[in-house]
Amino acid sequence: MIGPKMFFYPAYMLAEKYKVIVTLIPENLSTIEEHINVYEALLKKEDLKKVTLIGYSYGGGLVQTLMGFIPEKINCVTLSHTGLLWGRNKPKGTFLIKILLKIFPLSKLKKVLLKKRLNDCPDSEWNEFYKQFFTQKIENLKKSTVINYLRAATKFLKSFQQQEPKERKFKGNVILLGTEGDEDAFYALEEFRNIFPNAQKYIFKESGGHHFIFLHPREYTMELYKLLKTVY
Amino acid sequence: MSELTETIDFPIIENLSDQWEFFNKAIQSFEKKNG
Repeated sequence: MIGPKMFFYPAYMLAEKYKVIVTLIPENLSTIEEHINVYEALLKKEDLKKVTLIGYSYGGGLVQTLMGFIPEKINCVTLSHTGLLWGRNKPKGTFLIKILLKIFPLSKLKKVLLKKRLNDCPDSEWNEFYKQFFTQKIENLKKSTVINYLRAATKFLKSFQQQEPKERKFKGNVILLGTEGDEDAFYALEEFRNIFPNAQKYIFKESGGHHFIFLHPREYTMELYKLLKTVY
Repeated sequence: MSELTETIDFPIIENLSDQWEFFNKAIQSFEKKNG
């Protein structure tokens, strides 16, 4: 919803050593097949056989989907600050999203999004930048965009639940990243470790919670780069 | 692959206006690469 520019720091720095592609997730992309088609079209366009996928938060869900359905086309994955998609009983928040969409005017929806996005982090040197960037992005959102993304996310989770692969065939390298204060996704790190016992893991101790990548982009990218170097 | 063992110089950017400048530089770089 916010767009790929929010990952400018890690993308720009890693591009010094790797070919980096940061994808925009179209607002109407909602099924597993659609996500796989986009990924395969990208591989074809860039003439790549296999890539390393880095999925942060919602992106981690998309990476888990691709790992489940086309594992042969992925070299290595980084699952960062993301929940566990496998084994979910029911998509969370479906009912709440429907209510939000029906009764909330756009200004209220934006307030909800801003509250979710902005956690004040005074010890981050990027705190003010982060606030300005997300405030601008969310202020410029259209209601149709918000609605389409929320609907697509809900539909996607249902789609995964219905078609979840029974067997996990991905055998490549797995890197796990999380921040201790991340209330949204830190719980999942141990579950991922159980699924991928050989995964490399790094836990950030600093503030920043779920939005560590934005509030401490330098520290985040340095650790990610160190781990990527161990698999290449 | 030996070049991948080299270290990247990760900049510390504390000033807000410098951060916006860095952001614009990064975006322009990607836009240039992607045509």
